This record gives sequence, structure tokens and C-alpha cells, in this order.
Amino acid sequence: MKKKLLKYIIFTILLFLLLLLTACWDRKELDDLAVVAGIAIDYDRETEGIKLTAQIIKAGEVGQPQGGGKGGSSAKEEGAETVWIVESTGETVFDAVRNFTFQSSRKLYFPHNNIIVFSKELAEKGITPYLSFFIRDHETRNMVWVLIAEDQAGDVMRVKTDLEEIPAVGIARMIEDKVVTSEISGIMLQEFLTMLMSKTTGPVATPLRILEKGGEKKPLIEGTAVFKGDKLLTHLNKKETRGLLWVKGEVESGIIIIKDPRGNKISIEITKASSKVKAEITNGEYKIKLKVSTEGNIGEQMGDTNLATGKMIAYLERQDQEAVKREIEAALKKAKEYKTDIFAFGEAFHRKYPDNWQEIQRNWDNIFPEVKVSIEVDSQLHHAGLNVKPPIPVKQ
Amino acid sequence: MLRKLLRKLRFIELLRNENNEEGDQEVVADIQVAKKLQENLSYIEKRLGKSSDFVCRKIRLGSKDKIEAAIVYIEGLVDKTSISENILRPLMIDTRLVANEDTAVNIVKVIETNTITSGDIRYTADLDCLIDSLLTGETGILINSSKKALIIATRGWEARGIQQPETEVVVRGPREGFTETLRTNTSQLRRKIHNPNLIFEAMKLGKQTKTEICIAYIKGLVNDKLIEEIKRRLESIETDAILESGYIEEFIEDAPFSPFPTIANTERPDVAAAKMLEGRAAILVDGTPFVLTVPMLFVESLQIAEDYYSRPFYTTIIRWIRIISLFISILLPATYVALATFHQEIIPTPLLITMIAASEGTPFPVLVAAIFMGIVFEILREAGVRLPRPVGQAVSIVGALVIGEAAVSAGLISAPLVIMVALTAISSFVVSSQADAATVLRFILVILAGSLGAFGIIIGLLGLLIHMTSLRSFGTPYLSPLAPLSLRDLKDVLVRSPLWAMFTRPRTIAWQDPQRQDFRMMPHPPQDRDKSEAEVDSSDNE
Repeated sequence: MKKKLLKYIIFTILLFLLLLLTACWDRKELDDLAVVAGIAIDYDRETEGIKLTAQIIKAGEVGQPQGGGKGGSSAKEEGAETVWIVESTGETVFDAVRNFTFQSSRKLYFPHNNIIVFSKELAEKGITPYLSFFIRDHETRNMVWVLIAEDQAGDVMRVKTDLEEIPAVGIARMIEDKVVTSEISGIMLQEFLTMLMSKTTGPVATPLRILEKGGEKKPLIEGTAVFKGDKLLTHLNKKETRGLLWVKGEVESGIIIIKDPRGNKISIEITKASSKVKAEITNGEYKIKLKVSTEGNIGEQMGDTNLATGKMIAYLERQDQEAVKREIEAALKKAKEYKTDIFAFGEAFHRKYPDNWQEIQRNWDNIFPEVKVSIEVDSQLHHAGLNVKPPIPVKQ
Repeated sequence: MLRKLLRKLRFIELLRNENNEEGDQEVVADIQVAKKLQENLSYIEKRLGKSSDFVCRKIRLGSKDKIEAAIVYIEGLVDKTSISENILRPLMIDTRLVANEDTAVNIVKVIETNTITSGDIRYTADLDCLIDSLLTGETGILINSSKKALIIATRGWEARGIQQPETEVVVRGPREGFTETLRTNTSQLRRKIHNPNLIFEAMKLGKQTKTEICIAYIKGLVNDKLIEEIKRRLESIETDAILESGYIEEFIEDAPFSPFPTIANTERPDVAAAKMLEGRAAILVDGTPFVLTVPMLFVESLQIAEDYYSRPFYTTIIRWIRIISLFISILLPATYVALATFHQEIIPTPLLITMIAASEGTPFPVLVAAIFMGIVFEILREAGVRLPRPVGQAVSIVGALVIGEAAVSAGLISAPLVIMVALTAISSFVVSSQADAATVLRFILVILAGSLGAFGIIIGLLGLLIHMTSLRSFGTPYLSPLAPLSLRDLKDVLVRSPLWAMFTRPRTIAWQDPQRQDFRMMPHPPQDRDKSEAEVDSSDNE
């Protein structure tokens, strides 16, 4: 009886010990974190390895009101940096990441990373080798924006944004604003990987340029970076980018500029858009039937034509359709020129003709430029804003 | 394991009881009222140890003043005007007019039937019984050469009047609360429920204190087995003293090792009445305004009296606020610790930056700081409750300024932690009947969260859920009507539906008579009523 009781007591104590012993291996205090806001990957010529540039948030400097400051300690000084830019080199990405410890007192913490920037050089050589770390590591997330720098990626980390205190966050917000114009391809790592893993699709990513204005470097994001496989080929301009997004059905908003019969410019605001892609093989001919439907409002008119007539609306709708069609055709032309299927037409054929897929896939590079795309655009204008007729000055 | 320990304890207890009983039997013997008055008086005096509050007034009765008698009572427990008006005056003056025969036997009869003007009067032949009555505030009349003593109810002592209860304050609703006097309390219940089925069963507990206890219930609504069980548990109590209903609670509760109370208490007659009307039983204890009600469901801690006096929409919102507060008071510190030490990735970036900035330079790990602040809060609360009011103010100033503000500006504790502790503290006051349980659980969960992160919290909550679902209060599942689910009873859990919609009593408690009212009680304004009446008329004609 006593022995049994002792056994129970020991068992309970062990159970509690178990709780305490397993504990804390994963524990990290808040002030042990070096929160990475953005990271850039370059090819390092000196060591023939990788050069990483990380943007680390200096939490103490962010959001502190001038002259106030936390806990009576010194207030934020004028022009104090909110981020710490640190470089590290290594033979592989992971190696370089660990090598940050030579310079940083804290371990780099990746879950809050916003952007990964690849240099143009790396992107042209193929970026697959450098993605592996970001996919495998448990701390990194797939929800980061993939950016392609115009030149060196490290420079991107050093740009400043005016409104956001942390530049990487500012850049991420700029990409998130893509919905307003639909002229930027904002691609997260996850989407990029999906496109990369498809045998036929050409991945796209977000390009980033650096503008120099009065000695200050500011980021600029527009258009699309186009890949074939994992190698960077070319860029799409703004209109071509929207052409791409029309096909993918990712246009959410934006302005289309058309002209009224007298040649005055009219801005159409896109309110809704969707697309349908249908693949078809007839007599060995590969056909894609593209159906884009869009709805919009008249947001602005530069002239004084009365647009509030049925005829005029129909005319404008036709113009709108033409404009959309032109954008799609421009994108299509460029893609065919570079033989990269950024529209994922290959996947459409895959879905429709799974039996022939192996064959299609093997020849896709030859087939894609020959695919006949019929574009059908349905455009509807619903509202004319708050005033129907333009204010016309009295003619004297 | 605990059960085995308990069994051992019980065994020791039994042994001791047996010894005691043998000893007690010699002392307790029936002492009859003797014929000689002096003998009786000296026995009583000896028994009471010549207590200074024992009063013995000797008088002579009868037309010839031949019969010796004595009036005995304990000063302070009796109503003196009642004694002089109803006993002394009739005995000393009126018996002369009435009694012609001077034998003791006759005069006792005369006194009982014709002279004493008090309502409650009885005989006893047992002196110890007389002493017990004296100790509860009754007055005894001993008459020479009579073998019976008269006991007259003259209870009346200084007591606190009916006041507003401090623990359960309402904006709308009755302002009266129970008092320390059992009779006042039963009268308050009686005034709420004018029904012959309202039963008070009296009982005396405590070897030394002999405290009066009263089981109150409504016959027909209450489950008879519940009353049997309550009586069985109460009768099995063998202890020295019952000074407060908390004593009884601990002796009869179902789960003595649970942090959760399985017996509810209230200071409000309207709450006690409402609970009895749902088929519960109340246990009133003399000497405390806190009345126990059984069985208790967990949801009772989320319901307060005012819920039923104000309109349902607002009450429903407030009930949700209470549920949220309960969760905050149990989980917030643990969640904060888990997020700040293990799961920084799920904190939104701007918040994380703020939190890092705030904790920059603080010397302690979050877990230590959270436990420390938790203890500091408990210290402040305890000091605030115990201290006299004027000093209590100082405590809150010290607490708010020195501990909160100064600790942050000195860089000892991060500001978010202080905010979190403050929010937890305020929330814990919202659901006051579970505040004790919440405090205990909070610390356990903080330690689990600090060692295992969110995984630890989940383990803790799962354990808690298993424990709570296995709890019973006098046979009723503690989590009902949530588990076991009773859809019908959910009308008074997550929402407080209108009173006319709650036409049934809780199923798990009042299954004997579940119908509270007609289910067509929704009020109709006149227009609608005319229509529906017209419909009824037309259907009648058909």
C-alpha cells in the first residue's frame, strides 16, 4: 500500500518535471529578436558566393514621438535610423544568414519579413538555387513579396520611403496598392513557386527600380518582370502588365483612358472584371478562347460632350472594349516574342486535354507562339458619377 | 492517490469519533426538572458556569404569594419589553386575580391558559433542553414543586437591519439583502414567495455552536431526492463550529479539490427566491447573510439578478461582455506570455515592433514579469479589501502610480505588460463569483504558457474542460445546459431571451415540473389582439 502510494507520488513528480524539462527550448524573449523587414540577395564577386543585405528594424527608434520617448530615456534624435542595414556573405544563402551573427548581437528573425529582392544578375542566371532556404526554413514565410531589382539588390535595402518609417514595409505597401491601377504584378513567394513548378508557365515577379531625385534614392514599382523557367527575360510595361492581369482575371480596379467622338479624353474607372480561358484543339490547331468581362464607371471627362445618352454610352463601351483588347494583345505579343507562357495557357490545355498533356508539355515552347487567341471583351458602363451632364459655360 | 489519502484520513477520524462518543455519553444524561426550585436553579447556574449574562428573577405567585417561581433568561438575547409586558406583569399582577387555587400544578395550567400573553409557549421536563432554549433567547419559567418548566419565546437581540447587500449591487432591483438573523432571512423569503409549498426545514449543526440551519425549498418544484441528499450531507457533518455558510459549503461540496465552486451563494433574497423557483434548494445559516443554493451550474456565475429586471437586448450584450471578461481574466496573461516568448510570428508587425520597443532594456523574462505583476496585483487587491476605507485610497494611489507608472518608467516592466495586467484585473471583477477560480487558473496557465507556449495553454484548457465536464453539483452536471447540451435551456445562457419566451425551468434541475408558464405569453398590442381575436372568433363560427 505504502509502496504503491510512493509510486504514485513519484509518477506525479515526474509528470511535472516532464513539463518543465521539455520547456523553453524554443523560447525567445522579445528583446532577443532582430526582426528582419526585408532581405536582398546578390552575387558576391569577391568570394564568388552569396551576399545578403538585411534590413533589420530598430524597434526602439520606430514610432517614437520626437521629444517624447519611452520611459524617460532619450528621445528619438533627429534623423535617427529606424532600420539597420547589415551585409553578410557566405557560400550558400543559409550560410550567409548564419554569418550575420558575426555582426549582429541578436539572431535574425524572419517571420515578419516583407520582401525578398533578387539582383538582376542572379535573376538572369536563374534564381532556383537561392529560393531553397526560404522554402525549407520554418521561420521564413511564403507570404513575402518577390522583387527583382533593376541592378544590385543590396541597393534596394538602402532606399528610403517618405511615409513609412521602415522602407521594406513601405515597398510592401506599394505593391499592395497594385489593386488601384492593376498595372503592377505583385507576386508572393507562394505564387511564384506555383508558377515555377508548372512545366509550361513562365513565372512573373515584381520589378523594382530606384529613382534618384535630389540625391535621395526612392523606390519605384511598375510593370512586371517576366521569367522563363527560373531565368529573368524581360519586363512588361504598365499597359502590358494590365493586359496580363486581364487574362489572369486579377484586375480589380484601374483607369482606362478612351476618347469620345470629338477626341476628348475620358477616364473609365474599372469596378469589376473577370475572365474565362477556354482551351481547344481542332485539327492540330491550338486555340484559346478568351472571354473578359468588365464593368466600369465614367470617372472623368475632359471635354463637354453630353455622355448621358444611350448611343453615347454604347459608343463608349465599344471604345472601352477596344482599349482592353489592345492591352491584352500587347501583352500577348510580348509573351509570344519571348516564348514564355506567362498567362498559364498551358495549364488550360492541361485541364482540358489531360491525355495529350505529356506531348503538349514537351512541345510547349514551339506550340505557344502559334496558339491562336481569340479575345472577346464585354464591357459595361453603369454610372456616370455624381453629375450626368458636364458643366458647360454659357456661350456668348 | 488523493482518494487513498482521504480514505486514511477518514479512518483516523472514525477512530477518534468512537473514542469521543464513549466519553460523551457519560456527560450527557437526562436531567429532569426537579421539584425543588432551588435545585433547578443551581443546576442551571452550574451548567452555565455562573455566566454574568444569566439572569434569574425570583417571584412569588398566587393570590397568597405562596408559590415560588423564577424567570430565567440570558440577557442580550431576549426582548426585555416583551418579558416585562408579557411575562412579568401577568405573572406578578394578573395571577392574583385569576388563581384561587394555590397548588403548583394548577397554577401552571392557569399561567399557560390565562395569564401569559405571549404567542409561543411550551413545556419541557428536561433541564438541558431548557438550557438550550435559554441559549437561543427564550425565557424559562420554573415553578416550585412543578416538574415542568415553561418556555416562552422572547427572542430579540440587537441585529443589523436589512441593508443593501454590498457584494451584489444592482441599479434596478430590490435593495434589500439578507441579514445575520436566520428568522429575518426566512421572513424575507416568505415575503417573496407567498406559498404554502415554501418549506423551511430546521436543523442544528456544530457540537459547540449549535448553529441553526434552515433548508428552504418549494415543494413540488424541487427534486425530493435533492432534499434527501442535502439532509444526508448536512447530517453527516460533525464539527465543532459552523460560523458561516462557507463552513457548510466545504463540508458538503462535491469536488473539494476543484478550483470551481459547486455551491452558489447569494446575499439577495430575490436571487435566492428565483433560484428556488427554478427547483433549487437554499441553505440558510444563522449568523451570516450568505445563503447557499444548490445545485449550482457554471452558467449561474454569468447570470446576475439585474439581468432579469432590465430588457433582454442590453442584457444579452452585457452577458457576452461577462463571458469575454471571464476568458480575459483567465487567459490574457497566459496568451501574452505565450505570444511574447514563443509565437512572435503571429503578432502583427507594427504591434511586435511596439512590444519590442517597450521591452527593450527590461531585465526580466516575460514569464517572470507576468507572474511578478500578477502577484503585485493580488497584493494590492488584498490590501485594498482589508484596509479601512481612508487608508484603502492610499493603497490604490500607491498601486496605480508607484507600481504601474514607476515600474514602467524605471524600465523594470514593459508598458504592454502593465496594460495587460490592468485589463486582467478589471475583467476578473466582472464575473465575481468565479474570481477565485480565475486567479488560480491564471497562474497555472501563465506557467504552462511560459514553458510550452500556446501548446501549453491548449493542454491547460483541455484539462480544464475535462475537469469541468466531469464536475457535478448534487448530481447536476456543472456545465449543463452546455454539456450535456440542452437546446431548450440555452435561452438563458448565451442570450437572455425575454421572460415570456422562457416558459420552461432548467431541465437538469427542475425536471419534476418543467413548465414555468404558458408558452403564449408574448405581449400583443391592441391592434394585433383584435385581429387574432377576430380570427379565433371566425374559426369558432366555422
